[in-house]
Amino acid sequence: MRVIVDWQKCESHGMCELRAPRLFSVSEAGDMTYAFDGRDIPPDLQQDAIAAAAACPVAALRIGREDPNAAT
Amino acid sequence: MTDGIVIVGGSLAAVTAAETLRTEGFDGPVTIISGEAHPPYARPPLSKGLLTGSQQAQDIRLALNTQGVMIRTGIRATALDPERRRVRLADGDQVPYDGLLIATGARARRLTAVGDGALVVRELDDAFVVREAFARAARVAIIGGGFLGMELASAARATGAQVVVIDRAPPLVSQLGPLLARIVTRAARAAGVELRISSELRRLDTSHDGMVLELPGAGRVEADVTVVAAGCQPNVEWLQSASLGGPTGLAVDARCRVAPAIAAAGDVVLAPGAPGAPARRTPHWSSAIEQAEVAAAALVHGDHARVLAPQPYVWTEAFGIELKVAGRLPARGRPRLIEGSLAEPRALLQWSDRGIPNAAVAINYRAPVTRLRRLSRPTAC
Repeated sequence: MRVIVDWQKCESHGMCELRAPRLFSVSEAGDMTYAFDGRDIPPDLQQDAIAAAAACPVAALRIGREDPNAAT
Repeated sequence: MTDGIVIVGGSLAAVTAAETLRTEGFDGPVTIISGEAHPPYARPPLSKGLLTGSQQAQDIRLALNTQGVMIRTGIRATALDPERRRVRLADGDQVPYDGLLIATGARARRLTAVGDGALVVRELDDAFVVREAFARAARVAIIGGGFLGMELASAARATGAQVVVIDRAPPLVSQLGPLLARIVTRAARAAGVELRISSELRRLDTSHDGMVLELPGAGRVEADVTVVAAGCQPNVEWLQSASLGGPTGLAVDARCRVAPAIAAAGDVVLAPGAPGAPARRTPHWSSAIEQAEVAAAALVHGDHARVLAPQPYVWTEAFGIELKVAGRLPARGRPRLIEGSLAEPRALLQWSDRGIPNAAVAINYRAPVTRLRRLSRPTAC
């Protein structure tokens, strides 16, 4: 499972960090960092990822279940 | 215990509750029954990106990523039998449950004085209708100067239409307090939007081509398109036969429970207020999430679940002003300027009462909700 971030949409509300602080952090300046960018999320953090995606008020986070870069 | 948990409602509270049930360890069946035809979506963009066209419907979908949750859309619940633990649907079907989560939300309040012909923005389809109407209109009237009304006015003005906002009191003052309200209304006026205050409203004509409104003491407003943004009304009618809920909402306890095996979350809920304060509805994004998490946990763990500890957060953007507010609103008194400048405006402000912080706002300022919350609370040391 991966979280795909639409950086253009991110408005720095920080709901993602509230719900999933081990995955997302938003700096004092409002810049969001996603700890698993481009990587699969370990099983114990997947519920957090799902919660964070639902909490984003601008729908900037999407859950993807496959590596978007994998050859099909 | 094979009927599982049934969630009535299909928006943010419903989706959050479904996901929380799994997080809290519930493995049984979870069914969402939604009266809307569209699968779950986020409402805040309906008066922002979706109206201006910067977002499309697929951008605002609330995906349900948790396994094993069935969603049935386009079906309304019409009655509840708490004794037999069954929800009756519009098609006559009876859905049994072991646990029930009510998340039926609220609908746009309409004004009898205005009647038919005025638009509202609450559901996805409304936003498309209003977007199209704004594009065609030369003159737009928005009745209601709260968050929604001002966001709609901003979107309408951006299409080049002449816009009038009508309210009983100066826009946004009851929600935000005078200082923050003034920042937005000043920007609205600078954008050429007219603000009219009138305690009464009368519709003068029944022409299908538009509307003429008479505002005693404030003249007349003619509009091609009129939108009512006068708040929302809780969807409690379906609970009447079960003697639950009332015209102001569905009351819940400290764990968002209504009755044994029934919990509730979201815009329909009358949540307990601070000690000494009355219960009230808080129809905002962060409240729906908080209540849904508590309600779902309460269905799974009962009295062992944590109680609701609301941390208010609201945001709005209109006329180039983006406000993010954590803490107690409306803000009163003079705030402390933490960073930035009110002149631009681009600032971080903190309000305190007798030296104790209770609210913080970011005005056109990048500050995450976690920082605003820290600023809106007393510090540890």
